Amino acid sequence: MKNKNPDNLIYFDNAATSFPKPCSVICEVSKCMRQYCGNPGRSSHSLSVAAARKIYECREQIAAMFSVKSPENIVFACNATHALNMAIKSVARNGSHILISNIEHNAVYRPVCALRSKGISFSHFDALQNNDEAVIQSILSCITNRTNVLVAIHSSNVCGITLPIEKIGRLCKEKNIFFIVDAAQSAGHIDIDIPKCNIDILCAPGHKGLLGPQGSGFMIISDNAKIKAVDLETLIEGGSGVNSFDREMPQILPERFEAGTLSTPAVAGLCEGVKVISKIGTQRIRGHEDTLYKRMREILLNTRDVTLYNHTKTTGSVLLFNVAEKDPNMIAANLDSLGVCVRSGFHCSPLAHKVLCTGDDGAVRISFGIYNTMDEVERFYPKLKSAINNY
Amino acid sequence: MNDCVIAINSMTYAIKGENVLKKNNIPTKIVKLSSNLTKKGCAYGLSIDCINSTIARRLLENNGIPAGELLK
Repeated sequence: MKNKNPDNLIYFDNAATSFPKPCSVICEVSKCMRQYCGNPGRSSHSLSVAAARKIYECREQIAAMFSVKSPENIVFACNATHALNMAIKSVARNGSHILISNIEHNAVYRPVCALRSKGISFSHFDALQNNDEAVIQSILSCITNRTNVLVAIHSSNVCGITLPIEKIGRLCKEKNIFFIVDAAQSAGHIDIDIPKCNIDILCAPGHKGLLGPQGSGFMIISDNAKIKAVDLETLIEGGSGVNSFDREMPQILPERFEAGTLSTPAVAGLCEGVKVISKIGTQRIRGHEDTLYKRMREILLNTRDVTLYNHTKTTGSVLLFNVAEKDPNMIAANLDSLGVCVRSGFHCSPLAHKVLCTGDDGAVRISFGIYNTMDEVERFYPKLKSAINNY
Repeated sequence: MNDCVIAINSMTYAIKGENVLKKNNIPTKIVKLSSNLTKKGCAYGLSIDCINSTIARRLLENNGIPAGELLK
């Protein structure tokens, strides 16, 4: 898992986007743009078919990673937010009640807020519980006779909490509730078996844990989804390359949801990123990140004036902290001047920050990726002290 | 000689079908169908030797690929 950053830069912002990218990803994007970047699914000439073949290969790689039988059930999107909008709005109906957690990203929170104008309501369950059973109890207490969709973040982008999606999926199956999972921070970090977890739709970005380029993301519709693809509403309509005389989008996957030209270079790069992750294995990646997490947690807990949020958590890849009386944005700026990239503020997750009581300016987030090293964690400590002292 | 075409309703399924047929040693090529054949506008097909049409259709169906008309 070696891939050096330029100029000794320490990049701890992998929850925003992973960096650096594997050479195979960079090479494939370049190769695609030089050799086979026709418009996939729009012609039968050699470049168009070559692009379509690469895109299909990526569908196969993703399907295998998430234990889905049908590669055509992988629908490409620009990013996880796009995928989540497609997923949530495909099943929300007038009168629906949607259940979300109280640590959701704006990629879920804003779409459900927007749906209120269409007669759709939502409420939160409490994800910040001491154990899985308490999370399930919280969900049960929020279900009404109109609840037909549950959307849950798998791993928080703010505090690293991982929800028990297998148990939530089982509950959704029992209650006939459509289950959507936001795997923005878990895809590529944690094994996810879609049928085993009874997930109906899983959404993920391509450019985070899966190491692909920005501009790549996808939703996976389960082979056993509670609603058939043809009954899922489309978010956008347009050219699909087939049945051009029809006024409606095709009924088949993935074309039903893929209006307009896909970003072939982004998907081609993602294909190689998924291969890298599959080859290394998520368990090994998780183990590596847990080791870094433990040491960083120790450092933060032993640094004067530092408050580590959700400090009882001992494994993961995301740590959130503040320094007493200091603006987190200034701490992040000081760290940047010392060659450390972290993200400060609210991380597009006001719900989670409210639950964690981080205050008016949010907090500083450290997020690990596959290419971070223990050496970087050790080098971070004196830089953090300098960032605090130079405030 | 590829003298028959099995209509397939999307490029995704055409690629999937092409993979299945090639894995089973049936030579094939993705072609775009004339819109006067499909009546619905753009569509694709897998051109094959007519002698393989029965087995090819069966392979496609067994792999969940919706095969349309056989065009000669």
